[in-house]
Amino acid sequence: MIRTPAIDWLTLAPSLALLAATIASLMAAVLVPERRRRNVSWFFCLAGYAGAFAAAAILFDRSPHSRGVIANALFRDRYGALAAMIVAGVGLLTTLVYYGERSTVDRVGERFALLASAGGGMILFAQSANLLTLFLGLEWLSISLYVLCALERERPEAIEAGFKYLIVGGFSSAILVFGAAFVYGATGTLNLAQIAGKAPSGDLFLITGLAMILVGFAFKASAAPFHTWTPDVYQGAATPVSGFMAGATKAVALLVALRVLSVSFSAQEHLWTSAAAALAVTSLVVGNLAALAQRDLKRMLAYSSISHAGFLLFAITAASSLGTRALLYYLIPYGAASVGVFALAALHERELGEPATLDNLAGFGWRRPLSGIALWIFMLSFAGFPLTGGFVGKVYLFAAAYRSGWTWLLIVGAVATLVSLGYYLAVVRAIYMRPEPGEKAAAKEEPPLLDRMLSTAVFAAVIVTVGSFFAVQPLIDLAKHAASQLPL
Amino acid sequence: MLRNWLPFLIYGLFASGITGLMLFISFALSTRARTKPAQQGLPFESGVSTGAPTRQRFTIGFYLTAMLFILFDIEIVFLYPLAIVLDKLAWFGFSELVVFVGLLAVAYVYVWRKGALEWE
Amino acid sequence: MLGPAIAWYLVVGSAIFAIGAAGVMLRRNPLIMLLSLELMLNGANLVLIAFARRHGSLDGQVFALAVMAVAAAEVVVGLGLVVAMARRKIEIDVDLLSRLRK
Repeated sequence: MIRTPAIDWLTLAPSLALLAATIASLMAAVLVPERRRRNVSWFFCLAGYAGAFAAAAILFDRSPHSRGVIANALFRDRYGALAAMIVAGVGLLTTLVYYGERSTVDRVGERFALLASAGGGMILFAQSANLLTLFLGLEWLSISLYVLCALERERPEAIEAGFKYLIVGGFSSAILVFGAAFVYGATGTLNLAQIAGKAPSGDLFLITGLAMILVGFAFKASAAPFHTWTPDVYQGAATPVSGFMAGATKAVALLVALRVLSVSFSAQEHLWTSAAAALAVTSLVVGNLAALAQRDLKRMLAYSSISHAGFLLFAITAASSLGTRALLYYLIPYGAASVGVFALAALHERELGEPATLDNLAGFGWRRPLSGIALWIFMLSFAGFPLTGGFVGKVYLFAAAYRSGWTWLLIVGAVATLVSLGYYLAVVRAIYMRPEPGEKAAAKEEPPLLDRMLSTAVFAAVIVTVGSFFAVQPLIDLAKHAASQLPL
Repeated sequence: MLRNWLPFLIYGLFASGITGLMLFISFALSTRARTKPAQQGLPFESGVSTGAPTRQRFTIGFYLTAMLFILFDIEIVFLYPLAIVLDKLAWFGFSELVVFVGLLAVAYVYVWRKGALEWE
Repeated sequence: MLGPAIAWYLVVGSAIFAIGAAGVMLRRNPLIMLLSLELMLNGANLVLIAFARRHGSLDGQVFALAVMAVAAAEVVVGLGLVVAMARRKIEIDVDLLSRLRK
């Protein structure tokens, strides 16, 4: 007899909820009459994310100690549970925004199945405790996103975005697998916890593997110089999907990177902290400078997300408990604001019937005063203004970098923040400009679209963005409990 | 020394043999003209056939079926190792098998209802 | 152990991986790029299996099986997109895929 592992259902529950949602909405997409397809698939996706969030919250509560479960394939810990909560939260809001997105009837159900599927993969990825489950989670989420990007194949841009994402994503996964193979060769194990200490810290295979794994993660987190796919993909994909990628994919990529580096490669800390610092600086420079030059809103937000990858990499550079806490905290308002801002971009696109640019945003703030204020808030949170969660998050990240002795990184970060004001405030200014006479007058005459789902999502995103500033303490406590389970 | 390399040699012979055979068969059984008529590169001249279309087009159905075949075919890869130890894993292994095949069945139902298996 | 030393497997695996990586970066035909992606993954697979043999553990082989299945899924999505591009008469040349870079 082979001893079979005990199944810890609670650890699996968040990703299982989303897997069930995927199956249910996929089946609804072909078995339910066309008229009700959208609603049924959408409902299953929403229920899946709500279920995943609840399950992750229970898992968080009941995992005071980190341990490997199911033959050490997954971690049962608060770090993974909090990551799952962030993913589920972002996914829940995205599902609401995605409801009203135009689609032909033969794909109206599939997109919700794919959205749920991507979330399930992310959660498995975030909980993974060995290189094999890590790879499977990564591919589960990636392949769902490739298809999701290309789903609206009427638009050539969507297919292009999907194909580019597939090639670059596949390339980075292959690098990651190759790196994992060398780590396995050096240590003889795929288990993250056992990798540490199995080989001499200067082992050539181990260092090669570490470098390649790091590159793989940098691609997924869209950190410069591995960011080139980001603007094209964010611009070409359906707008709510771009928001999901900015808020959730980046979050899990960075969280898992930090986990792998700290658990498996603690002996090589000096190497990966320097590498993370280099990635952070390039991301900040490239992201901010390129964002200044953009007129297309989604492209600008893509570069802004690259610069955010730079800020978030401060946490990995710091390699401390404070840094982990800062990362976990910052991802909450950042995820909410990402979904929110892409939701507003989607709203604007649906009204105009063309991509949102800084030029055609003119008058948005007068036509829709509440949405205008929401856009304000998201932009200020991205820029790190007080009264938004982005402020606290940035302060925390900077403090973590400072505490670990990366003073020069702070200067780069401060300059980057100043530069970023240039394009964030440009958006705020643009929406209060008077529209050019004659241009897009049609949009003005029509009554503004009322999309209750989208408004709810934006409202919730505003609550989280602002609320995370006022409710700092409870959130920091959550992050602290989760961060204490990493060996940093 | 030679003994060590013998498996490699046999493997190499097999690999080149199979590829060579495949190339030969596709060459021998192809229905295309062996040599390109000179007119084929020219634009259409009225009234005169310039030969078969230069680009062979397959129907979309061919690609679709081929891709679905690859997908379902490769999933079998997981069933081989499971089959070897299924008796030792007993019910646990069996339930894993059922879950796995169940997921494939979901995909199958989707593909079937979507009409991707119908040959137009 | 029958067969050559592990270093040879690593050399071959790495070479296949490098050829694939070069192919993805240099070639501009989507089909060749997909093919090169497969090469990269197969190079990694060979390395995994070689190490599994050296360590006498099955983990590497299981990983390789998973990589094969995932690679198939990835390439099917890729081929689907290539077919979609062909049907919509989008240029099948990645250099020309620049609608997005105005």
